[in-house]
Amino acid sequence: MYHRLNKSRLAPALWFTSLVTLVIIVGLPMIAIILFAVFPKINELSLTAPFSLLIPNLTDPRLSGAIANSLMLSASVTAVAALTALPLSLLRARMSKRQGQFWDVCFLIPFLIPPYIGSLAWMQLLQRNGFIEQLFGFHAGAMLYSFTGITLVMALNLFPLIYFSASRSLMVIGSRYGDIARVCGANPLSTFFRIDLPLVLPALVSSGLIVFILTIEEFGTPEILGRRFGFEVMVTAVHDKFTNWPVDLAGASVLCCVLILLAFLAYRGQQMIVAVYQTQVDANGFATAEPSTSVLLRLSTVGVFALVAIIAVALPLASVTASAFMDTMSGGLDRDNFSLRNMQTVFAPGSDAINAILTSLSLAIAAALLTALIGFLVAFTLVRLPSRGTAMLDFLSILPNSIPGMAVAVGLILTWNLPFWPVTPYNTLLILLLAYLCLMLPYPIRMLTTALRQLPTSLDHAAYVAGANEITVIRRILAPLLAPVAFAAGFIVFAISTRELVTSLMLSPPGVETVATFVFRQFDQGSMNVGMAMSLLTILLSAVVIGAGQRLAGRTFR
Amino acid sequence: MNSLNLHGIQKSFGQTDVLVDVDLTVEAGTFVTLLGPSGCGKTTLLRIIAGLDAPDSGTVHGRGMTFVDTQAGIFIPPQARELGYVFQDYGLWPHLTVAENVAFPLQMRAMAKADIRERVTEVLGAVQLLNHADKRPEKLSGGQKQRVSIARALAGKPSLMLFDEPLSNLDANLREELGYEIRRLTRELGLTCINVTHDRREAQLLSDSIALMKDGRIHQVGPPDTLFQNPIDVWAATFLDAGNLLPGALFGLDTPTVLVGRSAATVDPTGTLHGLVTATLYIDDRYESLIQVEGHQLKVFTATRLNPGDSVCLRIDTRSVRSLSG
Repeated sequence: MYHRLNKSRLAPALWFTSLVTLVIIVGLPMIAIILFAVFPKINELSLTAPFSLLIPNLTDPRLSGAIANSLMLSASVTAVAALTALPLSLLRARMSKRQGQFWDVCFLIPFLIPPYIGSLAWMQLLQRNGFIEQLFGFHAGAMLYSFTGITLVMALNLFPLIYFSASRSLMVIGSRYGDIARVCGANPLSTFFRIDLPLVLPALVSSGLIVFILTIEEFGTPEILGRRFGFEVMVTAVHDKFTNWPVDLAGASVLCCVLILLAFLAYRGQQMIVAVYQTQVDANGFATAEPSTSVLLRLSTVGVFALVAIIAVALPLASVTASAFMDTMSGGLDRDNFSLRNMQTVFAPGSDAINAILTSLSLAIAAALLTALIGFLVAFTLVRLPSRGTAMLDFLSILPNSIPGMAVAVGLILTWNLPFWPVTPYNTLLILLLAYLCLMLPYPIRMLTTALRQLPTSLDHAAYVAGANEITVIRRILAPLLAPVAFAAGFIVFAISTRELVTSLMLSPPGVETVATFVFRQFDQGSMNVGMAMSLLTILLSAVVIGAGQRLAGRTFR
Repeated sequence: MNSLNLHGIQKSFGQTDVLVDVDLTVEAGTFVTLLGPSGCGKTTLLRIIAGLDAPDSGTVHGRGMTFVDTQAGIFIPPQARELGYVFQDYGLWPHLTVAENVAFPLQMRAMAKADIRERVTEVLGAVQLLNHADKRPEKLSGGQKQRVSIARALAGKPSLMLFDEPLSNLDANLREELGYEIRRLTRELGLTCINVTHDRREAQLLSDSIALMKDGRIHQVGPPDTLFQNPIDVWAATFLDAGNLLPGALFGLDTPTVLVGRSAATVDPTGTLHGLVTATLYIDDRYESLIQVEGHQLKVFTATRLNPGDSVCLRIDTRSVRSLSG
């Protein structure tokens, strides 16, 4: 057909490569989950009794209970995180630049603490004989091992997402719209409710939905804290179906389907809000609010921020650090109990810990390089070579945003355990790499498509007209321009990969540990201090890597 | 041999017809502007000539070869058409220096390094940017950036040059200066040029001939003076702002609308039309006034100031009254 001649033959080749790559990494596991949920005998390659287990599974009280628990937990974590973040971001808008930057850096720190490490840190703090009881004589174990406890621990870890989104939105909105309202005769209260709140609401809701998704996907915290009082959510229920004999593949698939569906709906909702409201504020009137001059307001602002920072940042960090340098947990916070033994254990040549670190580092480097490369290819195909099948590619590239790690793990197990593969990555490190690729691909794809959309198409067209083909355009024009962004994305992928827990737990071949599974096993075996030493290293590594990545990303061309 | 011929070009995006059966011939060595409101299909037509878009049907012949022939299944990709293209937003690669930007098309033709250096010096000299060769584009002003873009387009010695609103990002004084320069360069080199714009001043500044476009069709073609003096219908006259539109009845004509050249209406006590001045301003060394005549508004130039509220008599040179259709 004539349309085939529109561009050179390279364009379809690039397009095909992108699609096949995404289908293998993202598509196959998703198809497997759906097939296993619908056809219970599919692992025997039989399509008999379709849908026969769907209804029984969905009406199983244990499953519906887990679904209800997941929804309740996600809703309350989102609510608590939003209620914590909103006042902070309103106060942030009236801060001086330097003060604001200081607190922003502070609230970035929770991102560096993986939730499972945060939960372990809170256990050390609040349980009977924990740090708080040693220092102040009371403990809050009962509260920690309750719905309230889980909610608070997760909300404290996630509220910075809403804080950053809302305060950035407030900064863009600036004081201009509020000033106009004042000129029109509105008092501060009605200015807030009639002008500022409606304008900041989209940012609030869309980041709230992200918090909702992250909560519903979270495995570590419910597993560590919830297990103590029999609180089961969807993700931990799926985990049980795989770890308890007999393995219930159909049940796990049905749960995963529900999980993906919920996450997908929340994600679509978030995308729609962003799309509808993104352009509404005209950036012409960019004027940030004046720093407040009222001493009372400034003092109380510092007070509120310090309080939240102590609870959400300082306490967990201190707890991890203290545990990492204690000889025994029972020895308590005592000078005689200080020891470097845990660090020595971690760094002992040939130790399990060192092997776990090396495994995680090599996986993370491979994941960073590959996701950056695939992300670049997909971004170029999506943004610059639109064709009729773009919707499919677009869908596959967005899908992992709403696939919880547990579902990725289940999908990969189901896919690569099927009898007909001549070779399978299952039970090798390769399956972990596949899992990381699927989970991390959204970061480079999102960052690179955004960056590429901002590059005017005339840059490509000028090269084509000058005689270049697609490969030359990529190599000489786009790759050098996007390299800093690709690097930054790679660093983020690296940082997240080094601490990934769920798929590592589910997919690690026998005898292989990653940093996260190592920490988790130390907690299971009661060697908490060694686990915390490893955790501290993870947090520091994340900080260094993400910091370096951000610095690189700042060096983009204008 | 260096003329450009478009025949029967059709293009639609989904349900919308963007180009409908467009025929256009650009004689070798002439400068033609496609002028029209946004959405009239002019940019799509330019992209089709460049090969950045493909028509649904039709043929494009340029530089003595067939660029596109949908029936024969011929489509030459942009990289093989060897044309120059000057972009509205300059399209300069920010990671390359001015000289590297200009050298790129030559590198694509695998020219020898020494030849490339010589040619880059030559074209940068032609646009007076030799002493900026080692700068990154971000260090240049808008006018300088557009000169680099022109130098890059000229570097490969194309016989066909395409311009996409080359002056629209520049401020008024610079536009005129660069406009004259583009005119000089392209005529000296005998280039066949196609320009696209919605701005009639830019079209007047650059073109030997203007093709007025409306709703995906070529509406009227002609040299600037003919086009502005004789627009074929009310739409053309309105879009070109070619003069005052008045009902034919005022002049005893049957046609519903006539065009009166702007300098054909003069304030004269013996004039037969009575009007009321509603606004007046001083622009380009003369006064421009809006005058209401029997419910219709005329724009009239005068050498002396009129004041809003003044009653005036207008004389109209009937030789410059043209009947318009539609």
